[in-house]
Amino acid sequence: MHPKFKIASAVVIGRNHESKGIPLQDKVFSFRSKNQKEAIITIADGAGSCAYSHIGAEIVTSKIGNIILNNFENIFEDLDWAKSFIYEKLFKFLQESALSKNVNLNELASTLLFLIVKKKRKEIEYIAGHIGDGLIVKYENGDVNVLSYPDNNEFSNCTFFVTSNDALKHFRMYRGKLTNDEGFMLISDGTAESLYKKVDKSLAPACKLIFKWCDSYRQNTVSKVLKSNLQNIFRLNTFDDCSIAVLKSMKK
Amino acid sequence: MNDNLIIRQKDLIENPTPRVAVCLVLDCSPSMGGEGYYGSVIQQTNPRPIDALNEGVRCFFAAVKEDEIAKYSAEMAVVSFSGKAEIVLDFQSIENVNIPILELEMKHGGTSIGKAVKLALELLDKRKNEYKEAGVDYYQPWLVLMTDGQPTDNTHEAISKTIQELINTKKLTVFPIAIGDDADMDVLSIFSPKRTPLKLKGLKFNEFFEWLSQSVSTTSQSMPGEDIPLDKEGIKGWAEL
Repeated sequence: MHPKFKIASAVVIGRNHESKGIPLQDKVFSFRSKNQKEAIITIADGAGSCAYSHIGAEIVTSKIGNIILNNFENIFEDLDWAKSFIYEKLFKFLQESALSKNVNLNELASTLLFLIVKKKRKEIEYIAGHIGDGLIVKYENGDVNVLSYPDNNEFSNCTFFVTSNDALKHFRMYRGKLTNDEGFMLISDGTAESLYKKVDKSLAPACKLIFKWCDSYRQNTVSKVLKSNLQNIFRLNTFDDCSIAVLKSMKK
Repeated sequence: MNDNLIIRQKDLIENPTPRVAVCLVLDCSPSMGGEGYYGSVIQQTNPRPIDALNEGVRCFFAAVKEDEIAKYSAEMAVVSFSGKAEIVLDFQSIENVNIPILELEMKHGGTSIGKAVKLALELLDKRKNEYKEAGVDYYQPWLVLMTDGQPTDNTHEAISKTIQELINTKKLTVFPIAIGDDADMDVLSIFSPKRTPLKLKGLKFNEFFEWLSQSVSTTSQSMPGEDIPLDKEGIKGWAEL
């Protein structure tokens, strides 16, 4: 079957975590159904100070897709309601994990970025969401723009997490239709150091390049290439873990 | 790998290193000269506290400059005070800075902690605004207050409320450090609502500033969501606990 859209993702451990023997705290999850009617890309960045944040990041990235796909129409219809609905579901998974591991829920703190697409008759609809730092980029009409900006506190080492008291207030959601030759990119804050210019909130030319790779190469190849670039180039611009996930619909 | 699949630096963004602004607020009143009356005899400590302080500041700047990460991240300002407060060094990157030398303020005398802290807060505020305008990320700024005496005015009472609010809302970290037995620990306490102010062991300025440079280095490598724990073991090296 000729692909209607491709997904690719990669993650590498940061220099700081590697040197301190701390586990990789960025997590990625990506999935495209065989019939190409559904796809999920999601990333989460575990909080640096929390010993179990990599587990929290794993939970939210692995669960968010099914939560949304199982309730796609209702969520698409009413994003305000959906925020509470999704948050309660995620919170329950995190709570269960915290109880079973006998750790404080806050130890599972992580950010969350996701994009889920679902084909309905001839149209493909998307739902995206974001809590914390990192950013979501949209590719359309041959250009890239930020769909969702980093949500930081005043200071460099502060952001909002799924487990934060005010997480719902900082939960941003987006929806729309995915047409031909469009795409999304989820970027963790480590990767954003190379792709997002804070002073003028602009994006690096490399963002467009990555979307173009999706047009020319198989999705497994794009994932391998992303990993290699994160490892050899992006990682040198930050001490943090680096992750990225891309979804691109094909040209007509 | 195909060359077209390697991202070039020219296709990426370079963001400035997040900054850690540290303002040293240092007592340079005549008592830092180390002269004291013992009965009718004037005794001189050796080294003079002001000289030990200068050596500590020199070591601090040198240690941060040698740190591969902190040297791009740390920015220092120094305010000296006696009865009045003066900017000895305004905020700038530590890379090209000349290490300031503090001198005793013999002309005015007195110890106005409030005026000095107010001036330090003004410098920190100004610097934070400059960071914001330039799109530079920054960590919670630090204010290090070192004094060997008691305030000779009441200016500290008004400014302490501002300081407490900044500390309670996690917008500022303050390290109040007492030098010698005559420092007023009660006054220093009002600048430190969350932890007891510490007293320097003798004239162990070098040990204190070495600890401070390590803490700056740790902060400059911290990630979002990372609490920066103080090196409590290290504190034992310079503070009377």
